[in-house]
Amino acid sequence: MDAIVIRVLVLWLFLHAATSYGAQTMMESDLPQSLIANPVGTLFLIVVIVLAVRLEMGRRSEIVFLANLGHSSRKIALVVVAECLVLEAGLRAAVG
Amino acid sequence: MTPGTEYALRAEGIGKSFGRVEVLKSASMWGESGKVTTLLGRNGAGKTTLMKIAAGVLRADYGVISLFGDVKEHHSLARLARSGLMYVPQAQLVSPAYRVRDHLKALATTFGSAGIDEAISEMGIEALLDQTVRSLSGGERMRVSLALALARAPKVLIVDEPLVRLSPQNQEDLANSLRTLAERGTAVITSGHDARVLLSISDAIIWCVAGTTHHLGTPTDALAHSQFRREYLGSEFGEI
Ligand SMILES: Nc1ncnc2c1ncn2[C@@H]1O[C@H](COP(=O)(O)OP(=O)(O)OP(=O)(O)O)[C@@H](O)[C@H]1O
Ligand SMILES: [Mg+2]
Repeated sequence: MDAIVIRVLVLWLFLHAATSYGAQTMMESDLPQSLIANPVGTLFLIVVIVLAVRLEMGRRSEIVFLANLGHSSRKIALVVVAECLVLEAGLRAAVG
Repeated sequence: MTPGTEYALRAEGIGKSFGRVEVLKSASMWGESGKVTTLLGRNGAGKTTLMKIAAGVLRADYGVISLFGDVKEHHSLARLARSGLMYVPQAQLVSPAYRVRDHLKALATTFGSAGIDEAISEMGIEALLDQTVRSLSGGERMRVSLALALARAPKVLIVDEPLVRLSPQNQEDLANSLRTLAERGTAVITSGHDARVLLSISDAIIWCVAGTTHHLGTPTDALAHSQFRREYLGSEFGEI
């Protein structure tokens, strides 16, 4: 749909996902299983990622620019959540 | 408001308070396709607030916004943008972290690449394309924003204080670009304090004062308005 938005989001997502998962693996022991958080943990992670992306967008003052292209904050949040779910599903498939 | 005219954008009876401070009470503004409408008024009169509300980035306490006759309830900038509106804020439209080229590319992806090259040369930003916005001066950023607007050719353009921090010659060039955009059919709504330049490119003047708005008509009418002259332009202001 919009190459820039997707690219940027994917990039951020990977970064944020990587650090969050990184922290998780550090705290828990057996590596592969610890990648899968419980549902509450997963939800928390997604919320954190959405907020982080939103914060980063504010910091880079790109919200108005994206809105001018017709992308509402809600739509962007949905894209982020969808992407998280896909990543999560992929991860679970890979590990379990 | 002239009866029978189809206004591109109308914001009517707008009220807005921040905490206990009532910034707008029953203010209104409207833009017409092919015309430049300018909001003038002292600092803090509420011009930016009114424009933000009309652009859907700020919610009004009361009042009605309509775009081409459709009343927009719960409107947001993203939705209005899909119906042809573009908003260039007083701070800046472009994001410091990206190159000028990235902004143009994103715009092209969404709205098509027609007019991009022309906009680049019209605003003379060829040399800036590979710089990040962070490294541009205030005036250059505004030129980039205007290039985006020219390329987008929106049905309605709301641009807050486009001439601020520009040198006199650049002010004139940029004002002429707004004029060009209007001549191509856009309803341009602008604001600022560079009264002389703004009056010279405008078709209609709206005076913001004490939280409300007075529609003064053409620049000629505005100059003939003795209270506007006395309270806004000041006694030193001659003719345009
Ligand atoms: N988010 C906010 N919270 C509280 N007060 C605000 C907020 N935004 C604006 N105001 C107040 O509303 C009033 C109108 O502000 P606004 O920015 O609309 O003025 P303006 O006409 O655009 O002025 P200028 O010519 O200086 O740009 C000001 O007194 C300002 O302090
Ligand atoms: Mg302002």
